Amino acid sequence: MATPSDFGRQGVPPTHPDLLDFLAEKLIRGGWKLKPIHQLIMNSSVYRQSGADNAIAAKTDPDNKLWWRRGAMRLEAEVIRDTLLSVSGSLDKKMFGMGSLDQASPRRSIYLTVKRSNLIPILQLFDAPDSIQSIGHRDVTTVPPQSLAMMNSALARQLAEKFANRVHSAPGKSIEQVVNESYELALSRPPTAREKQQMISFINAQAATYGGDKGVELAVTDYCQMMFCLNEFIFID
Amino acid sequence: MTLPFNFRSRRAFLKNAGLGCGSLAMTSLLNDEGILSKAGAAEAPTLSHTRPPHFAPKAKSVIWLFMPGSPSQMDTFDYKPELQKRDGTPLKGADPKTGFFTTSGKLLKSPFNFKQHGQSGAWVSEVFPHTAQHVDDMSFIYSCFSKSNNHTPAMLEMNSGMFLQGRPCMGSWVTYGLGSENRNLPGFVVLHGAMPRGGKPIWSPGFLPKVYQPTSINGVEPIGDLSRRNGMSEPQQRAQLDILKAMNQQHQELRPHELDLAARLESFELAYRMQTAAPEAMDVNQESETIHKAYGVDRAETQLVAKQCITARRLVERGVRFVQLYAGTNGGGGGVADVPWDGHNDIGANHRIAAKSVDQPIGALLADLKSRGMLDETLVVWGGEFGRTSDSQGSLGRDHNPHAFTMWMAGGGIKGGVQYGASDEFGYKAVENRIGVNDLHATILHLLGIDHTKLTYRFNGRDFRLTDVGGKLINEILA
Repeated sequence: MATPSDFGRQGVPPTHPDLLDFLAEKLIRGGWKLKPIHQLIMNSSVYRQSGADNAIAAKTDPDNKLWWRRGAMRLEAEVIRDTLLSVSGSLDKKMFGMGSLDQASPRRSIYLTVKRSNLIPILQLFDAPDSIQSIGHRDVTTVPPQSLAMMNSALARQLAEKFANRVHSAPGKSIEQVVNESYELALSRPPTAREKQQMISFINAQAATYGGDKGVELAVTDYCQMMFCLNEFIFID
Repeated sequence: MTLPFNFRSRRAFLKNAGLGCGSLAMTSLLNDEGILSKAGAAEAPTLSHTRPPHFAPKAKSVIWLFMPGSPSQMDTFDYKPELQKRDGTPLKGADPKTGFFTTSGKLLKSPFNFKQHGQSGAWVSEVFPHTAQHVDDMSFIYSCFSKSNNHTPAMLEMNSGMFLQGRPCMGSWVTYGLGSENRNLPGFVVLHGAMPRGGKPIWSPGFLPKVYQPTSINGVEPIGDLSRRNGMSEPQQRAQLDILKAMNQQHQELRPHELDLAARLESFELAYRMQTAAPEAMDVNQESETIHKAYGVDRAETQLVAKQCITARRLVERGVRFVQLYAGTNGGGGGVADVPWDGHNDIGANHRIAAKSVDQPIGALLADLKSRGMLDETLVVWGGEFGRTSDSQGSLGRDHNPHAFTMWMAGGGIKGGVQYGASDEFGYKAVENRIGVNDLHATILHLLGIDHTKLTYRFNGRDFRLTDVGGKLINEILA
């Protein structure tokens, strides 16, 4: 449904009306419970397919309206922030209690207070709605201020430091181990041989430019911050 | 050359290009640098970083000099000899609840002397000696009115056409409509001193994509996250971005259809360049001492607005589309920092201080734009969010008055020396050729080459306009 807030005459008709009816009936018969519906959708072969290319499909359905592949989806603002907290090992999973207006709070983004006159900068940056009017569909934008925040903000750096500390604190740990472990934590997969080699040589070269006792630590932090900036980190497919 | 737009729908355009001031530029860069085609994109969008206007524009950029708190019309540009004569007498038809507090119902004359200036003979109060030198380049609109008698809703209305939160402000509409001319700078910049009443929501992009929100600069601190952290050198950051680029490219090669990925890859490069371009644009120290003196950087009372005005000129010079400058300071007395023109207690004391902080910088800005040949293409807009009462609040102050106020525009397709519309003999209500905010917006968009009825954005099932269902061009002030 391309126009989720407009099912009327001006909206775009759904691509799969029978499927929508089927899901609606399931939802109603299942007592309006959302979790079973989510489970049903997420276990479907359509949902689980890859983003692999297909020349014929790309030609007949370039917009992927019929879901012939899994498109890359940018995480939502709240999830990006939660993922940064989680990967850096600083997420506070405590439930309930007062919210906060501090974007550096370690709690999940759902515990950030929505105050119309004081919106959370990092959420705004990644297209969170301003909560003044309801919306049917969030924009996904890619703008330099997002990149600047990931490159230069105190928040991104502090979380990178925590991430670096998490993967590099044990004495005698090799850079290779740091790379392996950080890939698992940030991307849920081991690095390829090529990636491993590229990352190790980056960390070593960067450490040399810093020099001194802190050189490796700073280089690992730069590396960890760079991991946060990867497309693979915030686009899932 | 291919047409700049070949998208099926605006939504597809937004989704695929992830555009905006920066991203429009970015997509163009992607094309220039062959990144999109290298990524093997099936349908590489071919668009320039600017979007075509509806017709030939007169103005390329706007500098909006916003006077928060609202200057009084009858103490600045709307001379009322009858008011001067009838000081202290009852104002017929006065509504003591016109403003935010309560007024006396007795006329209060202006404490200032007025003189006629220029060929056009426009009346200007003594508090604006520098601005007065440019009346022959200005169109005055004496018959403006707005809908709210409270600062925040009135500021929202002046910026977005609607006195409630949630609608996009004009700068956002304009960058949405036209894009930006500079690849390395934002298209919409807000310059402010103290945070004006109403805060950031008064310059919100509302329901437009967040890419159209302004970069706001408070006059003291640099743009957020624009400088590398202390301890990291430029080559070190370059190395970090190089490995990032290599990784993102490897990731991209396996996903040739994902234009968002290519756009994000380039956005880091653009951000890297912005780190140099934006501080350069904002650096008023690169200007000569003559310029500093002319604007008043060397004097405490004018320093803030002088720097803002120089910055505004530098930004416009570099292709920034829309600069909104929230001017005026309380100067250590006479007003409140977030509404410096709010002369409730003593209009004379308040306006002397507020005017002093803006007059010389604004006069210098107009002269500077003119001498550089930029005034023809730069629309300068001056005004507050409403006017003030003709009767007194207390003994010497004036309350808010949405029924009449004066705005002026200069440059960018505006006819010089025009005095348009009129308020009544005391300046209490706009009576002749009344001009609402929708009309101001329609006229400003027109000067930028935009038909206000055609600049629409579909949201929650309907097309929205900056001018809603209103808006009438003020043809009499167009050159």
